[in-house]
Amino acid sequence: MSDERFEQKLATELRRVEIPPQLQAQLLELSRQPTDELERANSVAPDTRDRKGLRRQRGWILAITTAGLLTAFYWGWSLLNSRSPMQLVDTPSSPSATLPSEPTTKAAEALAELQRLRSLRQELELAYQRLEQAESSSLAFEEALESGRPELAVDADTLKAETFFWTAETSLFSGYKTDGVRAQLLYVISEFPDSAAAQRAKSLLADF
Amino acid sequence: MHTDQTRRELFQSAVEQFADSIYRVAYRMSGSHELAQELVQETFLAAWKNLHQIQQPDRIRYWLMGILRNQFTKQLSQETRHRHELLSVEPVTVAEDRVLKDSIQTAIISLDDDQRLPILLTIMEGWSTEEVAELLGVPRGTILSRLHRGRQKLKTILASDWESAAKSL
Repeated sequence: MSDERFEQKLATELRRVEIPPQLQAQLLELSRQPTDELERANSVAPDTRDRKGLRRQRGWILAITTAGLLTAFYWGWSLLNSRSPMQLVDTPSSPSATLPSEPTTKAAEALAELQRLRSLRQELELAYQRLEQAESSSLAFEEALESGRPELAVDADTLKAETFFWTAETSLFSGYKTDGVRAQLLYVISEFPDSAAAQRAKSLLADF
Repeated sequence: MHTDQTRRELFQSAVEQFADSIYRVAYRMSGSHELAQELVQETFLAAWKNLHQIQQPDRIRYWLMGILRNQFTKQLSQETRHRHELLSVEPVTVAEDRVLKDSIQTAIISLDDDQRLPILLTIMEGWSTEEVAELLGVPRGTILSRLHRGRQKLKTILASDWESAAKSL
């Protein structure tokens, strides 16, 4: 069967579906009802459900965001406290510290440690930016639905999947290859199997 | 801003022109007449509620399809547990059409999520690739590649069935 013939047949078969006449009549009827009545009817059922759903979704996203923020703070704080750059350079309190080679080695180590901490700070800053983006996306989702631009609303599940994924990814890149991070990646894969985040989570899990 | 009268006329004209197309896409995306009816109702309700905000009435087709796509994604994510039911093929009543209809719907459902809507809009509804790219907010090249992969997959699934059905007639 040629490509052209195949496509013609496919189009014909696909178009066999027609809207039930009573549904079309119902839709036309919508516009014949008084506007205020329809607005009222429309605002009772689906809207209430939507707002409850939105509140739940936003609550989720904010909870994840807050947890991520606190974890990032905790890591940063622990690392900075455990290896303060000031503690890495010995004061010349003993005669051995005055030997010319040792201070040079210590200084090099201190410099390396400082660079490591700087790169960690950059990672933390990046994590903050992503947290802000996640929060602003969740707000945009809510605003898009409530301001009457439903076609602009982002799928909230995608947002959740992305948020879970990047908290796990940030942990991994910060050197935390733990069971908790693994569980978080597995969660993304099982709860949001069709998301792009799940695909990325699979490739990260492969390195575990 | 539209008056009540122009809003009503715009809505009625949208229903008359596009409800059939929206329903077809909803059915082919979901594989269920019941769900398709629900999606179309939700789509047009959202449209009616927000119609006063539309700035370019001549682009109402994009707007409606965008709402449908969102409603479908929302519905699917709310009912992930029942996904296999949503995507299952409904039994058809006319026996001789059974194999053909089932195989088409099964083939459509077997497409990747990102291929399904471009295939339906271009082949079934006659949209151009530029129009689909604009609706989905992706480059035209991406749409062309999704269409190519989708067509290949459909042909693999359907062509042999159709050829053997034609021979048996």
